[in-house]
Amino acid sequence: MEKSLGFTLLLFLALYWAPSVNDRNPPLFCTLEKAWEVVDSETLVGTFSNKDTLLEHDLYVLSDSVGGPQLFYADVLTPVCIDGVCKPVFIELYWDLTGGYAGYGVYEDHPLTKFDHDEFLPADLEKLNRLLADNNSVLRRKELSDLFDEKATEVKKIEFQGEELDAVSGATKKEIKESIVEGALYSCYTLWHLIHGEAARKIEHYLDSIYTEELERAFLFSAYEPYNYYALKKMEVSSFEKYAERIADIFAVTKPLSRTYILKKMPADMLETESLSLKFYEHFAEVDINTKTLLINHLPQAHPIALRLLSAQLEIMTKNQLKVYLDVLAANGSIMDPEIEQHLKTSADSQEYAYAYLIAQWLSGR
Amino acid sequence: MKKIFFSILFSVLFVSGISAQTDILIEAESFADKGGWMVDPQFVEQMGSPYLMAHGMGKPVANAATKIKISKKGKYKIWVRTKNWAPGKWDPPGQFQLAINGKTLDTKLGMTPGWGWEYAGEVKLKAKPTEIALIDLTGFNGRCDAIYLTQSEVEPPAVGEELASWRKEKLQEPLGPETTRTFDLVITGGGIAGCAAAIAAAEEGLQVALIHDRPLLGGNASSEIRVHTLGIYGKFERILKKIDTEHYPNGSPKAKLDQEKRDANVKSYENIHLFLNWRAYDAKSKDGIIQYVDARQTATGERIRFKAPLFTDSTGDGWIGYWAGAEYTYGRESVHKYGEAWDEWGELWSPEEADNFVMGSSILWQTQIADLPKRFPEVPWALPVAQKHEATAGEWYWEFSRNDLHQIEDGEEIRDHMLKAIYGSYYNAKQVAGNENYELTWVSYLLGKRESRRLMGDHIFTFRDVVEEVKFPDSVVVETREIDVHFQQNLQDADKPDFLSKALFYKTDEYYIPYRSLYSRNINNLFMAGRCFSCSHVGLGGPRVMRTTGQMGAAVGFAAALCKKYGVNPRDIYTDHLEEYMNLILNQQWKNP
Repeated sequence: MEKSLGFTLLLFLALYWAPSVNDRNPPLFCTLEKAWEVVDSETLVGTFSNKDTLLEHDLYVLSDSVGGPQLFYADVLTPVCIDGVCKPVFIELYWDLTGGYAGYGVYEDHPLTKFDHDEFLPADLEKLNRLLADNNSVLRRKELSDLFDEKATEVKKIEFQGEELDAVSGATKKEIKESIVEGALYSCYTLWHLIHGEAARKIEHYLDSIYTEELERAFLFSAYEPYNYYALKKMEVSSFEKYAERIADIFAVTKPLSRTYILKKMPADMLETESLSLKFYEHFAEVDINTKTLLINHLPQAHPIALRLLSAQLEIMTKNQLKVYLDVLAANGSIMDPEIEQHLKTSADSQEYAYAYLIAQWLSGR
Repeated sequence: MKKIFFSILFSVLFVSGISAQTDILIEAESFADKGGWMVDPQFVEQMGSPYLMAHGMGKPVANAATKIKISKKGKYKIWVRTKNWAPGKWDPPGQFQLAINGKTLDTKLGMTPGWGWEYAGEVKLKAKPTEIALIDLTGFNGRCDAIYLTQSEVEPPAVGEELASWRKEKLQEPLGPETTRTFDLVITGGGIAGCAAAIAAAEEGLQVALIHDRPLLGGNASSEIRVHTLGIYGKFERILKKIDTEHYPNGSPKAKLDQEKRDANVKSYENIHLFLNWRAYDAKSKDGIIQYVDARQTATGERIRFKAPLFTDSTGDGWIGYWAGAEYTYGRESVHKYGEAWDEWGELWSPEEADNFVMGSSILWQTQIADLPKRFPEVPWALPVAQKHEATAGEWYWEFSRNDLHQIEDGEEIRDHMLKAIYGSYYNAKQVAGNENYELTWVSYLLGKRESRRLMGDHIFTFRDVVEEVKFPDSVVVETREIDVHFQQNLQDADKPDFLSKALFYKTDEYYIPYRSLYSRNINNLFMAGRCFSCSHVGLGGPRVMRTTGQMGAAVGFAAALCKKYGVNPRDIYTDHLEEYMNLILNQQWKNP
């Protein structure tokens, strides 16, 4: 209890000493560095608590000179206690506007240390950054007692008939070890839950309350993938046409989850125009395999140029993708584009394509 | 049973009034001596038959051999139904040859993509017993479905209906099975759910048939697949402890100890009639009542018709329901259908638009460190899948699902993809200094499926039932384990191998599954227990683990006993006998059979 009070006092002092925005400590890692650079003011938007220490921390939104929100921020002082021995951890935490982890900063005079008081090495700092960026870390679903031994310095070992075993179901010892900075398990655990716990939920709600058409546009045209995805998720299907060009640009560079989302959500007739079909189907060769499937499934609604483009890519199709492609072709009737026909014949003769025989069978059945 | 059934069939041609047997179809799985070849019955519904596979993990397996009787001497063309399972710009991995009476034919087989007949050559045969042998050349999963000897010039049909009817004609199969057996309850599928159902029903005095297409019981928990059982016992600890596993690492050889326990315990019930190595292939219903289930011995081809007033589908894939016309579903529902959102995970958890991107199947595998260096062959055909990934062991997250693949219809491709992932990743690891002594000790060839067809019951169990911790009047299953739904890692990061998954865990204090999720809503005498029970995609996330499915099985077994007592169907237990049923479940806990 006394210790708790002591740390609360320390916390107040630390907050009192918190640097102003004009005298800012640069983050060690920040995925939105440019956003951090334009920050001009901070506004308190609420508090969040740490479920282990029950301490409350202030949460700020950092904005640019015209009041545009850029990042969320907290200057955190939290105790890390093991076996009744506590030491303070000083750290600055950053979130993007959707509540995702954006980075952290440390103070020169309060470096992060391990349980044995050794300072974090550069590799440890990077590992902590990676750990905090993983919102599905094994730390998420486990209690400390599940993961670590009594001294909370090592991954728990469970033995079964003399053989070392997964510490917990669903997570292997290797997986846990890869997730944490060795010798600093409690710090990792505490910080991960500060980033991905109540603060993230509060930011999500806050964003909801300030989300406007202007922000939607900013998110959509941002180079930051999580903002694109957020905008796409929030967007009405009816707005897809309006932003079609930009959505096609996002499609070209984004990750598979967003690509498949775009293709599933887009209105059926969006690919009717030649220019948009080109913009989507020209990426067929380089997109992931699940996106390829959805592009092929969209062929009946797409401009005929798409069929022709894909005919040059038959040999990277899976068996089922090829079958759907040939079905679409068959449904188009007996007259076939000579370019497509030529590609079919070439691929049917391929010595390397596993499913060349299916094309040959299809051609002979026509 | 000493009698060996050879599925050797003679089609008789009548020429000038003299009969002569001039063609013979030999099903490879019926070979008297299978040597090191395995019978693989997993993909019968897709490719037409169980087949023999040379699963030697890179070491050629011992020859399989059988004897046939040639009635008419002469020149025979020999056709072999096989496939090149990894076609590409390399030597096919699954090559084998045929030997007739000890003489090896030159032609290498397993060379052509897609199941079809490969021509092995022509031989002169005398009218006397003739030995046919399969000679594996690689140890890498060569496969032989059937061998056809003929004096005709006509190539047999390769696939589909045409092949199926040709096969029936050559095998001269009567329309229905030769034998009919009648029981109180017919359970298809001897996984943990099926075993639990059999035990519960048997304890209550029912005559139970348990049909299972493998030699060992346990399904995903068996020593052939080796997934450990998770979840709690609920009210069925006594029964489930007879058949579950310890919490050893997935893939551990310790699965063999639990296998012995399970097999011995199930076999100890005199009124459980075990049909091991029997695979159901049809179920017929009339006016919403299943009349019978037909099954075939996976090696001999012998058939039995199973009749009963009650049936349980524990096939995992919902085959009995599917054949009988039960309503079923497959894939991921729209998040809006049952209100199953978990905003934090959005599309990964439950998509806005329904799709078929279900949880995948796993193949587990094991290595050990030997005293001396061990070599492992080149596997160029595996590297396009494994890419640069290096591994010396698998785990549950070696899992494969893709949106153009169906977990049932494309099962063989999924299995083969995982074999390439394993052999390729292991090969990569072997190239790393320090790994010379690693030795591949075990790779399963059976798909450990997580999700396939789900049969629809009076209640569809969903994520909402978990979130709201709904207590049903007919809560027969209770579980505390997290709901976990998997997704492929390459959805978030395109550079990840496509055969690795991640899990999303939703913590729960306790949730319940009602009895109404354990019988079909339109087939009146059909129970289901196991992953094909009535649930949504996300609803399946938690209860698909095997102590939970075991609870379902036991609950179904006890319900079947009451159905028999009153001569009623499963739904009537809920409407008319619920109190007695719940008391039966409660009181059986202290039973000492």
